[in-house]
Amino acid sequence: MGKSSKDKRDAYYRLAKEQGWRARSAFKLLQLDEEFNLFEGVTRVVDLCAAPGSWSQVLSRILIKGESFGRSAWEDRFARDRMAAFGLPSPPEEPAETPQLKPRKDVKIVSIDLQPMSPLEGITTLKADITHPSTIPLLLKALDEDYDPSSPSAAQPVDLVISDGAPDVTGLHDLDIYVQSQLLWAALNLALCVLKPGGKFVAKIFRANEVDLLYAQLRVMFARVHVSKPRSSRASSIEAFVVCEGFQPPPGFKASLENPLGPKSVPAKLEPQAPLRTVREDGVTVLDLGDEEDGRWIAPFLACGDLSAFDSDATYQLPKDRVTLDPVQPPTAPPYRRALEMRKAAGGAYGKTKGV
Amino acid sequence: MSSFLQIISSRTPVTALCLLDDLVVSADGPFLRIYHYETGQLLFWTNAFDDQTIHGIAHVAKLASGHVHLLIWGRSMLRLVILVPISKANTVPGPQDGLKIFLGQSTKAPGWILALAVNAGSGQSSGMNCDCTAHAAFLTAQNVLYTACPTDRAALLVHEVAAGPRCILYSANLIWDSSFSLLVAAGTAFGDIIVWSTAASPGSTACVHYILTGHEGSIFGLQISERLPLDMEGQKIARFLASCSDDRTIRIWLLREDPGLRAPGYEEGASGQYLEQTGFLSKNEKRKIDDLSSSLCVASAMGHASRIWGVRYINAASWLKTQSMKLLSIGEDATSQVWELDEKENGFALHHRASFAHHFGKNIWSVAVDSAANPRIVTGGADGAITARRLQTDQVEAPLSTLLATWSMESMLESADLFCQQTLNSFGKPAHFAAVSAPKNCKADFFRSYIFIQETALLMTTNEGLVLLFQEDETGFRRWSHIATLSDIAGYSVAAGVPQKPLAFLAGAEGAVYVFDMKGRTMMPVFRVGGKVAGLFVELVKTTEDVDTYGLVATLMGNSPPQHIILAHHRLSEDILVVRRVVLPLEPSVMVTSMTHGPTGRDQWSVFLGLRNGDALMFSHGGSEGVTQPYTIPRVHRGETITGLRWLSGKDSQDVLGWLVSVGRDGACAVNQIPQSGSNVLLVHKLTLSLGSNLEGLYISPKNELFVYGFHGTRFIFHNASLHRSIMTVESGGVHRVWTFKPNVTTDGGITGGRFAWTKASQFMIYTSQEANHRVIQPGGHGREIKACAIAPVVLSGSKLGPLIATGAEDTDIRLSSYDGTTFRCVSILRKHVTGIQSLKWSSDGRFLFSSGGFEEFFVWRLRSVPSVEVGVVRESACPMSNEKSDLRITSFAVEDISESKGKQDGDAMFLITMVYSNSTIRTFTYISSNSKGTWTLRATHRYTSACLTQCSYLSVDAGTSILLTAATDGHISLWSMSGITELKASPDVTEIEWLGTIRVHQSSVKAMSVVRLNRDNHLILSGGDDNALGLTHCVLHKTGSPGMSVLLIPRAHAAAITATALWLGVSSQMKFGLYAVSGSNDQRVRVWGISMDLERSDEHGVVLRKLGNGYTAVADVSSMALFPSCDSGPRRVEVLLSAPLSESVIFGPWLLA
Repeated sequence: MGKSSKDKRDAYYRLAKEQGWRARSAFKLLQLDEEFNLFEGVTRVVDLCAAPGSWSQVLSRILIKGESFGRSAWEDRFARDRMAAFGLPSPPEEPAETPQLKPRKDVKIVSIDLQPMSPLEGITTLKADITHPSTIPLLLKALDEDYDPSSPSAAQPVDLVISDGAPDVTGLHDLDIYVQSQLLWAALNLALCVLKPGGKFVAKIFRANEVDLLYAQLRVMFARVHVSKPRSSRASSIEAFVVCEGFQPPPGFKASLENPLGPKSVPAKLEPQAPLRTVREDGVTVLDLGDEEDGRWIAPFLACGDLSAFDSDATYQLPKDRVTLDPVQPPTAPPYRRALEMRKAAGGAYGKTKGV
Repeated sequence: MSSFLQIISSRTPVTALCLLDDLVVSADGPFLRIYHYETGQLLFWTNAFDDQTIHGIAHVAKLASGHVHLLIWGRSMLRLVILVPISKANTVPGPQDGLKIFLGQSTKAPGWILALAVNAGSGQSSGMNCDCTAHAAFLTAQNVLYTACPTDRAALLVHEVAAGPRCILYSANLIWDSSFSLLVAAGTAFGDIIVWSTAASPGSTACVHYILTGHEGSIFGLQISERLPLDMEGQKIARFLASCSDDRTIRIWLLREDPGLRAPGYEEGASGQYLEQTGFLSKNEKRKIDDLSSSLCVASAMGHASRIWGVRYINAASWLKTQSMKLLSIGEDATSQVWELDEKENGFALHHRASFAHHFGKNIWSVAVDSAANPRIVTGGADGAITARRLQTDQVEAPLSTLLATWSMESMLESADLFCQQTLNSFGKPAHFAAVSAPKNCKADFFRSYIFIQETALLMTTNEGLVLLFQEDETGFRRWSHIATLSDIAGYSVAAGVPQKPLAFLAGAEGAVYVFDMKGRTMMPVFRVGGKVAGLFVELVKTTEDVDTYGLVATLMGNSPPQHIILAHHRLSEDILVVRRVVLPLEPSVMVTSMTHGPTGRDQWSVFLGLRNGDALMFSHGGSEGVTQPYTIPRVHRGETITGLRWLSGKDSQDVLGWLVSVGRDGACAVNQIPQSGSNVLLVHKLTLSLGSNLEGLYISPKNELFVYGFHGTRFIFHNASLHRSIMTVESGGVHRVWTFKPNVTTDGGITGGRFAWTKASQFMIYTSQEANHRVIQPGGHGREIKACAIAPVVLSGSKLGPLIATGAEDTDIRLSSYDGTTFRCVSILRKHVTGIQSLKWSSDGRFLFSSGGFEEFFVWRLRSVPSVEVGVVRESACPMSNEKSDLRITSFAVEDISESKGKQDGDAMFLITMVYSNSTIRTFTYISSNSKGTWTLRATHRYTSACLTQCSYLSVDAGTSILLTAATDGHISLWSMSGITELKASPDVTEIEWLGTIRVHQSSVKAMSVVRLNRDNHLILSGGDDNALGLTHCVLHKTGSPGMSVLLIPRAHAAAITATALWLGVSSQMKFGLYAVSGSNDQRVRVWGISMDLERSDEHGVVLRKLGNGYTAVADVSSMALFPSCDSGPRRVEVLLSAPLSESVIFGPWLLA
């Protein structure tokens, strides 16, 4: 797909270029923030699997520069007007004037990835493996100059740990789901080591087979667990985000990467909720069938990004004279780059004999 | 699994394979299947895991009792499987005998199992305290090694042995170094390979020998070879390690035997620290690792177009003898490729040897290779197919498919004892042959034309006028013999034959047509046409006890029209007589390219000619009547050459005289139906095949299967169009050359291959294939994600197949399949869309299929029963686009038959079609199908917000007001009305659809929707959302005013997005209704719900919902669901078809409904 047709097919790809984001995924974090107020009172953040760095960029612009992003950054005005015409509730208009910059004090942001990442002002980047125990002292050191290696926990814990990491999907569903859950466990284990009580954890999750087991385990560590899908995340993708708030490790729990938590290592003891029928304000009857048995739990879903936000699945008409922008950051070199070059040099098919 | 749900049939990607003597053991989803290799017969299948896919099968042991022990695993589950053959007494065990399977207890391992190796020695010798016959070791994705030993009760005891450096692995391979130690190769996501070893007893320590760097992407496949001697003396012993990666390379590493060797950074023994990637390794150590790695990587090659998933040694043992061995790789590009590793003076090298593409779409996930002399290669793809072929590695057996021989002009003449002879008149030829001198200079001669007479015989003419016969006897001895030297074929000749009889016809520049009869090896002139013969077409028209009747069409150069000649061959006397000869009234400029005979009667003849301009003509003549003016069927293959024609008689049909089957250089196969009377020839079938445009001919087997052949790129391809698979491919070097082909027909009428002869660079070559180039053990389906499915509500008129299942996929194909209660069979593949299919729907009478995709593609397909192709399919029309460059997706549509004469088989039809688009627009058309042509009239349009619309359905369609229902990515459901839209007006205005109301049901996208009409005014709408919720919207239509909508929302109905739903009415009384619903989700669960509705209760308790069933499905991302039409009698059985990414379909049922 060319840049121009991608602009039409993917509103957020276009908006990211227009608003200077490294990747369209920046909007996912912004929309999660709009719904969950993630950054309220937050100054110390760890961004895991950060490359190419669009989430770090959001942190940098909001926490360090003090910018604020509202709905207007991704609102489709046409949709808003149409919704009003259909009598659908639409959110109040945001004030048009540019808000003042409100930089926060004592901001500390550490971004970790194995892939190289272009530096961002005010952010410490680490090239390290988040699954590895040796990463913890590296991270603690980066968070706190006076870190004492003899103490395994952070002197000044962090408020928020975020992770947008995903594997290169193979197409073998079970494997992709497994690798993604491993990334989530790795991120969670690291978060458990550095998060302060009451802290938040946001991570990409694949809503697929056995995801209810994952939810149940997260529920043991956090007071509130939601699964959320921002409007900027395509409906056709199985990705969603777990938003875990109110970190509350069980009594006696000791986090460590030497002995990480894994599936079913924490008994998920939850009081199952009984079926409940309620009538909502808008007249919709909601029938909650109650919790699952056998250690499964389905986290409540919360869509985020207002309905007047651009729809990542819709096709938009663009003005004829529109200039198609280049991406802010060119895509990183794929592992098969050399293969493509060699193939081109050999005239198409590596110069190999054709199949029989 | 819930008793409400039972999987009856399923086709999902084949994720594991194992070859066991004459058995193929395969896995798709949780199902373990056992096939007999030779016959392809399914002997047994079972559900081996409750709710997960099988990822590996390993052969453990074959006991003296004949019992076979296997270990299967998937994710972290492990299970022993025992096959027990039930052979009848005194017979050799074979596929006719049954098999029983015992499943051991499922055992959970502490992590995802990546690789497993069975210890060939006994478990006793390794010092482990268990009394099992054999035991296995496995490695998890966390790089931890375990052993598994079966206990008495076929459970498995798992012990942790040792942990390698900790990191997440993508692939691994392990081998028992001895019966008490193991060697492990582990591939990381970051392109490194860690080679380590350990003793097999619990609590051992890993020794890290190598960290191999060099691959530029994740390692997806590894295999360690047995120990091999690298020199003749057997002094240098080493193992090869083969690896493949995201970077598209296959690399071969040489691992020296040196137990003391440690990777830099690991000298002090493994501390379990894998330091390199965390940046702790010193620069010096890193350089040492890189240097060592590049010295150990002895060969590297690229071959696949995308990621490579696996690599296997085919015949590592041959290294000993030949210093070479073959390897096999499988990849994302759905090919398997053969490589040869050898060592010459200049070192090791990896050469590409062959590439096999026998799977559809993307991804071969599983492979099994045996170590026989000519090893069998079995592959399993994401298309659900299992294909197999033998690889020729030695020359002991004569290969079944091979280039038989190559001759130069000299070697051919030498073989015929003609070389350098001065005169040829000593052959005792009949008097009318002039004795001709042998060519003065044989080297100047060249191959002119040739034709197969039999499978083992071919008639050849040379430019100098020599006629030679090629023969191969039973022992494989091949020779040429001289038949004749004819002056009038010197410089120019054409040849023709019939597949059924050992006869060949030759004609040259002077108009004489000769016949060669293989029986007496005689060559005779039969008639003379007055001019140079441009084309000669011949067909066996009929055969009686002692006379074969042939029909020939000879076209002439210059200004003479073609002639149609009927010949009678009296088999007893061997006389060939001209029965009839007529000149066909045709303009000289018309180029005839193919021919077939139509209906013939007593002294009545008809013949069809296929032309270069794509038209087909029909002539008839008989008795004393002259030839009629031709009847033209225009543009059968657009403007492209018709290369093959066959007539299928309508036999005793009242209406249909017969069908004209054709192929042409537009790459399509077409069928025209010729009526008994009247002149309305009807195009009943036209589909493009996947072979490119150079189709050169067709063949209909005695079993009525359709075969086509032609060229694709530089290859000649013989293809079974009924089964959609290639039989034979020959690298011929291109299409513009002299060639001839004859299919192999077995005694039972099957086609197993063929012979292809061609000229390339002045060499004459014959390729023979005695069996198909691959066998299909399990037929597959789409090669990419299925996006939509629909089941025809009724059986197609005249068809013996059940209701057809239409599936549309990301590969842009639509497949029509039949389902016989156990398996799916693909009947046709409809290729016309250029984007992935979004939605499919049938007309209520099953005559029309509608499909939508991206770029505003909307097609109407017309279906009819047609012999040989089974289901005739024509793309009747495409909906006009709103603008030419549109890239809008038509995500859903609603169709209602509003024909006046609803249900008449060949009558006109009229449909009201409403489509919804990705830019939030709605458009309604009337579509009229008349005389196989479609007319579209835009009736109404509207625009919702800017949210992508995802669902569309009619609540009611009638002459007054029609009600439309839509849903979108914003989670809202809307109702619309259209007035007077079903009336037919001469020039109707385009009106705006009226909005009736919108209600929010879901938080985000509505991904599935089903509607049931309860009574005239009440409808129940079931919706599945991206928000994991199910919505039940009760909709009441009022005569005036806006409709009432009330919602019951069930949040957390599934753990993931709900992507497919079905809803149907079970029982009903006046105001009370019992309904059933099924929902499918990305959480791989299918749930059944019972719903009761009481219309008299207006409060929130009016609708009650209960969970009835909950089952696992291997269909990973269900995209669509369809209900089979219900049976009229017997126990109520509802079958539901699921279709989903990377899998064909699963059927659930039966459900007993109260």
